[in-house]
Amino acid sequence: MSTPAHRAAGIVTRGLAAGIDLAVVLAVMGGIYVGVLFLRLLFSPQEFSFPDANAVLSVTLFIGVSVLYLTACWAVSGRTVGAVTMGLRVVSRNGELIGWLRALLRAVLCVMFGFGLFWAAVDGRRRSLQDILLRTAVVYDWDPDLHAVEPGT
Amino acid sequence: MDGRRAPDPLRLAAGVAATAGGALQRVIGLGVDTARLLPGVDPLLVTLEERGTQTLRSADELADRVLHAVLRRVVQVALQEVDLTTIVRDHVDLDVVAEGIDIQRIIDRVDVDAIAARVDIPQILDRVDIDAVAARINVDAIVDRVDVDSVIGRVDLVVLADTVIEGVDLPRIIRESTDSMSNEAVRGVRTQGMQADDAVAGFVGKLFGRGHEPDDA
Repeated sequence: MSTPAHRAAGIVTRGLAAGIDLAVVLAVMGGIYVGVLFLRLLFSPQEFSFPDANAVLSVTLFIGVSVLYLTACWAVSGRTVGAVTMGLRVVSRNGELIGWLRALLRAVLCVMFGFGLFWAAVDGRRRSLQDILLRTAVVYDWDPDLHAVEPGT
Repeated sequence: MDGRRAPDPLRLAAGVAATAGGALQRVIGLGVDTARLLPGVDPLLVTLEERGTQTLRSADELADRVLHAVLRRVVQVALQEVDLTTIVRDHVDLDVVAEGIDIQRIIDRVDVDAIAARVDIPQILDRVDIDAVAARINVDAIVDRVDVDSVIGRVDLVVLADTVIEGVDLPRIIRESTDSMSNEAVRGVRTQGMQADDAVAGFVGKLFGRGHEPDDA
């Protein structure tokens, strides 16, 4: 399989990857919701009723799940589900994986200030605001393993 | 004559000759017996008898040989003169002869295997024009005469289908095909995403009056 050079990815692939990741997070949230329902049904079947949607709780859960999901994925392999689908990887400037701390910071920044991604469309080097702040990069990388990432990308 | 038929002269002559011969034999026998009583005559008689026996045997052989030669010559000439085939055809009822022949016994005695072993099949095949034979075969007519429904009715389709399905590794086929399908799909999405990235970058670059997209990122 011919793979492209590890150059910076553009707004379209990154946007699609972000959309897929959003769907994954929503699916996880749905799973948590259904799981909680079953737990409640299991422990108090008499008083069971469908809980009302709590906006604050939902947003908090969304932020929590997203940050956890993105942090873990970026720190472990540099790739979320969306990134795997689109053939992307989040790396540091020297082409290595970003550490847990940077992954956590980037996840929080991405979740809270998602619009920062749009800077990648305008920036000459296709960096989002988070990339500029944390000195990270998102590159095309179709290989499943990190060793193929060339330093200096 | 008193109802008796006239005597046959031939028989009369034969009777006279036999009587005369018998009398002569008796006279000779009597003579011989009498002579045997004389001393010295008996060995002579024995010698004479042996000589007579030898002479008779030689005459017999000579007669045999002459007879054979004559007969052979006669038959040869006769065969030359006579058309045996025509005679057989005219006078022999061949149907009756044929009925008397036990064909089955003849067939039993024929070693068909040995005959078959002597047949050069490839040479025969070389001389047969298979194409011409095939051209003369009316396949449609043959097919029309085949009752396909009854053939199908005799086939246990369920067992057959089970056997076929057992021989096919369906999970592996599905796995491989979906693998390749998903691989192709993912490659397509990624490639198109990259092209869209480049298109957007080019558009934005033109919008901001930038030159060519910088290679490093």
